[in-house]
Amino acid sequence: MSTSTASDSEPQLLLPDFPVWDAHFHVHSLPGHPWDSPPERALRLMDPYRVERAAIMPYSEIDMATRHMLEEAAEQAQAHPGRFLLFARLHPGEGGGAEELLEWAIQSLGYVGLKLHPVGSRIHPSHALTRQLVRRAAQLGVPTLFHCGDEALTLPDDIGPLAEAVPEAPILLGHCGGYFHTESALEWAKRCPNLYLETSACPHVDFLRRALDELGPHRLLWGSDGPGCVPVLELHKLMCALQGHPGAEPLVFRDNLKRLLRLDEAGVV
Amino acid sequence: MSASSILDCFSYLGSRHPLRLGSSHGYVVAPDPEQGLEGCATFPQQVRTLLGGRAGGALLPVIGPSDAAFAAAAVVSGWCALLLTNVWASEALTAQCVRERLSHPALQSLPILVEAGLEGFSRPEALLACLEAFPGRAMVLAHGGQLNISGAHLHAARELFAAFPNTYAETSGIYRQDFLEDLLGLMGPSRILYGSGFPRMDERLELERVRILPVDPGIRAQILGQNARVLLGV
Repeated sequence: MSTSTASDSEPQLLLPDFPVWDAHFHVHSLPGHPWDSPPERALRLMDPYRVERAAIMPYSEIDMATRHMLEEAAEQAQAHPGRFLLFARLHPGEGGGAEELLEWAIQSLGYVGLKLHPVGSRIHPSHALTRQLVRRAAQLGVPTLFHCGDEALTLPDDIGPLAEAVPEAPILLGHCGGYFHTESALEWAKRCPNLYLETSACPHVDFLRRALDELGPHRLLWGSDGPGCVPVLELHKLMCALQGHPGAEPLVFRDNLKRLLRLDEAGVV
Repeated sequence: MSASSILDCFSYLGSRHPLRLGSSHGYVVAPDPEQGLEGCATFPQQVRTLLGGRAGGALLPVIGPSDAAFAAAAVVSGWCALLLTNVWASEALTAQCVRERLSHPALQSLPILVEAGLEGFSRPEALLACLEAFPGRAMVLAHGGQLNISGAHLHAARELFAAFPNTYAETSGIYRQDFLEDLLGLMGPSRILYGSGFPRMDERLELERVRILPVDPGIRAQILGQNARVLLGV
């Protein structure tokens, strides 16, 4: 016999009671594609759950031929003031071109971060081109967010040596190593103080709690990987992991990102 | 404690499994990955004792038990489905020994639950071969048929669900909520089954993954337990 069918089906979410910042969100208009992610879709998912700001990036690498995408995203951010933090997803294979694009994005368009996705670029994180781009990002005062999952070129073992080679560069391991490489991500983060774990899409609640315990609350950042992975579920996931550590919540859900982006209380660089 | 209507169709009975910790849900569970399988014939009774009258049952691992252990387990009642996973040992999903066990006379009417998305074992190309080897057999593909945080296998998994009406999607660990919603639209609610995937995944997250679906509560209840009751004979 079963009871309480209605309540069993209703959400029972743990959510922060203050505005949060999302360290990993995709905005990329792809009309007709299942992954079409215009800014309006982002805001529909952000607003009900007090996601005040989101670090946004497209689904593909930008190079000299597609540099207009950097401008278009900047225009979208301007159309929604105070909501989006721009990360430039660049192709390191452009060499000097990538650095030029990064400099332009940061100095002229208001970008605050670099995104690298080696599955897309097929450039190893330890390649000289990647190293130089990450080093340039650090010189310009912005962190680098890496897709860090279960595929070759994106494993923690692929990205960790880069973090050692460029210790001045804050590097975020997006997705914490995915489904199967979280332990490796944590080991590298313990080894390299410039590595941070960004929690989006990693489903391992107990692991995230251990990461908090072993790294401390300043090295973990909440992200959703929206709009595919929805902020509400990602918020609930991390709240479950942070239970008993309320002091960590403001750091993980907002202040760590704010600090890495060197934004003051008003959210200005 | 009142029993809930939730039936978790896929988890491993580890030492910290919610069933051992007093959860009121029903569970269909596989043996503890930390334990050997030589005594797996007694597992259904162990599960019945733990459930204490609640809905649930046992998953029989096909890969891992010795021939003698599997033969003894095959004739025991209480199995809800056959489990294909590489937790204890690994074989190709269509290996001769796997085919023989899946075709055991006492078990051939049982659904098959495949822990999908495991590299070198159960990615979509391997699932396709398994589906083609057992046409018409009810097959639950865990994790929505794939585990990949780049989304690289979503399309291939979707194609399997579209092409094989005998497939069901178990929900634990699915990458992207819009993929789950897409599967719901593609397959209809009767082919989506809630599972926690414990211990690889976490019940606290996986329950909400289903609970936040933008559907009627009745459909959520289908996914959270009714579908598994029907398919697995619980």
